[in-house]
Amino acid sequence: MSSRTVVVTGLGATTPLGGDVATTWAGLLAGRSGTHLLQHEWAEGLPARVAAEVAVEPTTVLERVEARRMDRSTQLATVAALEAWADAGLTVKGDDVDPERLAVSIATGIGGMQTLLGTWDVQKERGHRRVSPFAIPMLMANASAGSVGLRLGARAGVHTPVAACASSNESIAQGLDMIRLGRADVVLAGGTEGVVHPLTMATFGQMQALSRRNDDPEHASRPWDVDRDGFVLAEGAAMLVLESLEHARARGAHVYGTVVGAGYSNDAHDMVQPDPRGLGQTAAMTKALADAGLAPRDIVHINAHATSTPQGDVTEALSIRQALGDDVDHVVVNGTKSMTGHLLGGAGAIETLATVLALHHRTVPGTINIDTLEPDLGIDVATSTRPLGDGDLAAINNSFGFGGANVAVLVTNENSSAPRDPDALSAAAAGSGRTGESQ
Amino acid sequence: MSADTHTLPAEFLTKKMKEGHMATTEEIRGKLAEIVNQVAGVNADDVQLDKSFTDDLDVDSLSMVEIIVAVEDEFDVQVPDEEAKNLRTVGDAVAYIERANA
Repeated sequence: MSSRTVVVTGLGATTPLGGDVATTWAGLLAGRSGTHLLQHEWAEGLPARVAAEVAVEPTTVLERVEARRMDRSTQLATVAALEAWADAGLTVKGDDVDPERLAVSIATGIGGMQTLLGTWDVQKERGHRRVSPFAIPMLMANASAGSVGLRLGARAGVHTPVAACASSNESIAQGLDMIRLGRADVVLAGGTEGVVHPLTMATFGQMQALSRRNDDPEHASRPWDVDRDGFVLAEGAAMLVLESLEHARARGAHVYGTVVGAGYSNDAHDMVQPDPRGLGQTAAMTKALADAGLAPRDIVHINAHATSTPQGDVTEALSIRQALGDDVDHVVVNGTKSMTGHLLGGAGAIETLATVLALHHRTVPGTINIDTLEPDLGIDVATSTRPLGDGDLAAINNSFGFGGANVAVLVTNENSSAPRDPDALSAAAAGSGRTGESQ
Repeated sequence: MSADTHTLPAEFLTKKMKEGHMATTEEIRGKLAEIVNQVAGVNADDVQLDKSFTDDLDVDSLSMVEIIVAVEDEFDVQVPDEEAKNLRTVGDAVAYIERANA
């Protein structure tokens, strides 16, 4: 079996920063916060009331009847998937891709929870005869993958990795494997989550996992700041079109970069706490390097998992030092959850997307809200947008999940086309500052 | 959201037709057409008596379940599952509602 090169040819996203990739990326470069105080009546009285809801309601983009047959997570996935597909220059069920060679892998951490709870409410209040016959295909974990796979006519496979906050890095790793192994030529890979809801705010809150900075919501997500106090729950979706280099070249596709490796590990330490020794996290990065045939000296950037929890952020810094050794000195580390909040099952995908764009545009978004950096981290944390140098660039995106899963995805700028609109990018970058202030 | 029900504009739906005059076949068809549009996105003008729900209007089996439940609510009738199976065309459904309301 000869290993095939896997490139990224399309990107799609709907996030708290914007309803598409361009707006989201501009928000990241400008250091904009997507977090806010929840205004819903149900949020009153909860200890943690800061969250990051999507900037554009998916129901304003999707057709009415299709939207009412989708859980919120699937609505978000569909918006991002259609953007990625169009961005790749592909038409839905067009003849650019053989359906038998097209697969979908869309992850979620929790799935159709809002449909599950809403349907149960209907049954309790109005009886079994009034529940929707669509409830099961809406709430099941693989609903988004199934729905998007149906829409695109993807016949090579339809998959849903579930690994909490590492879920969508698994999707990307799975897409990489499928193409390398010759099981598909094109894989739409990504993740989605739509669970900003009283139940999650209460239960994550009960775990002491959420930031309680209710009086200063835009500064609540602050990875590596000494006053960080938990993550900010977000919703949204991100998708990447992965394609064999051969297939992409044959159709003259625009290429953002190359996915060159992935590494998995399991902490086997605790259901929710990371192993403070960072053994599993370190192993994931080391395995990704080995898979890619690269060395620590090749890495210029890491988009960290960095959720803004007291323990998690320092453990990851330790793991990064262990994985890279002395080469950690020339690696720019950022935490984009400071701006997007934590998309759970969508986190790996939006952050791999941001990593691909950082290399493509040779610009790393900063980490906002760091007033006082945690001392002795031993990593170079970007607190504002940073340029990357010339030449070959390689970067890692880390995602770690409850349950123990650690997944590192390694991308490079190999095979990258010239950026489509460099002027717009520099304008956005010029508008960026130390930030956190802008709305 | 799944909790969404099939509410139609109040001025269009007089709940039970028993309170005034008996609804005409065309009135029932019109209200049914609105339900089919709400549930399945079918153009209401296409919902004519001779049309088959599945073959002509492309209404799938799960949507048909939703339509039946909405019909029960809006026309104050009961449609047991055994009866629902026989409602192949729009005309079948309208006739069933007329009989049930008679």
